[in-house]
Amino acid sequence: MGLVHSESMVSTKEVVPQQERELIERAKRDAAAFAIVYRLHVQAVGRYVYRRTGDLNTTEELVSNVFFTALKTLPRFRYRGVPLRHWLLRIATNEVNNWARLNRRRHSVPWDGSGANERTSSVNRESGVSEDELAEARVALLSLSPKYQAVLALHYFEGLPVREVASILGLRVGTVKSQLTRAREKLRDALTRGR
Amino acid sequence: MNKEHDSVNGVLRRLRDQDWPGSSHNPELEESLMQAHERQVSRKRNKLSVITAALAVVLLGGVGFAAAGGIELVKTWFITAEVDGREVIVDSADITVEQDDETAVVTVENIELSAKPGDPPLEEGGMVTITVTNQPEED
Repeated sequence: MGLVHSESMVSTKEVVPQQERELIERAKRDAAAFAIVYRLHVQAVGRYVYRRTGDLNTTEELVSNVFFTALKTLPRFRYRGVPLRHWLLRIATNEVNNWARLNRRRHSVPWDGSGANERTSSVNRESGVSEDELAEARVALLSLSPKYQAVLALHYFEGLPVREVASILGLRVGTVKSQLTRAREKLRDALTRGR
Repeated sequence: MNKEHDSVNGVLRRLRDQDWPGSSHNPELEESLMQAHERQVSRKRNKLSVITAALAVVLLGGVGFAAAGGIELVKTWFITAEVDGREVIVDSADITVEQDDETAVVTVENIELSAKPGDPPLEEGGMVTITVTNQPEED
């Protein structure tokens, strides 16, 4: 079966590897195919970035950076069976890590939630978690080194197995495991300090 | 320990449960991406055209050079000649080389020589010594 061409056929479902390979090759030459890549993955990338930053404006800016970086590096991308989503998450991780490094000092003081808009607040109300609890959790996460934030986010937020996290970050499985343990310890310390 | 374990899990769960409230699809960003894509492909195509044109110029130049006797000229760079022990200038030479694994037979069919500036002009006759060095390979 050929690849999806029209907007109505774009689905957020996982595309099978052969289709994904064809889509990538087409996206290198055809802007419309790249738009399909964008539509298929923008939600996953946005969700990952938002869970790490907790700020809508920052998320929109970083998501934009992720897809422009993907566009720039796409001609050099060689499909080797690694899902496109993982490649995009790797780019997103680099973007968020850079952002986190620049803003880490700012995040060491309690976050007052001013970056969140009304929609964020309502979502939090729906989930039954208070703004304070969420802010506390956010400050604790953002106080960690970006590499620890990344392993926690990919493993616990995105639900990726350690092997896939290792593939995205270009690390060994053992390194990811030890970073996860260390990250949890650091997060616990940050929570203790914050109370 | 369990309490601490639970607090870490609780924090991770709280953050995980935050779904991105942003739009799933931003038409402006998509349009910008498509425009950037077209510029990128166009730049690549132009680059390829320039490289193709440059190769064509080099190829045509090479054919023209060969047709204008350039190969003969190049061959003269690899030979030196002496007339009665006096070094002279090789103006042009028709050289063929037959080569097997061990030996090379160099045949000079025609050679035009002239005296070096400041030397007396060449006279008819005399012993001509031709030395061929690092001659280009021929089929």
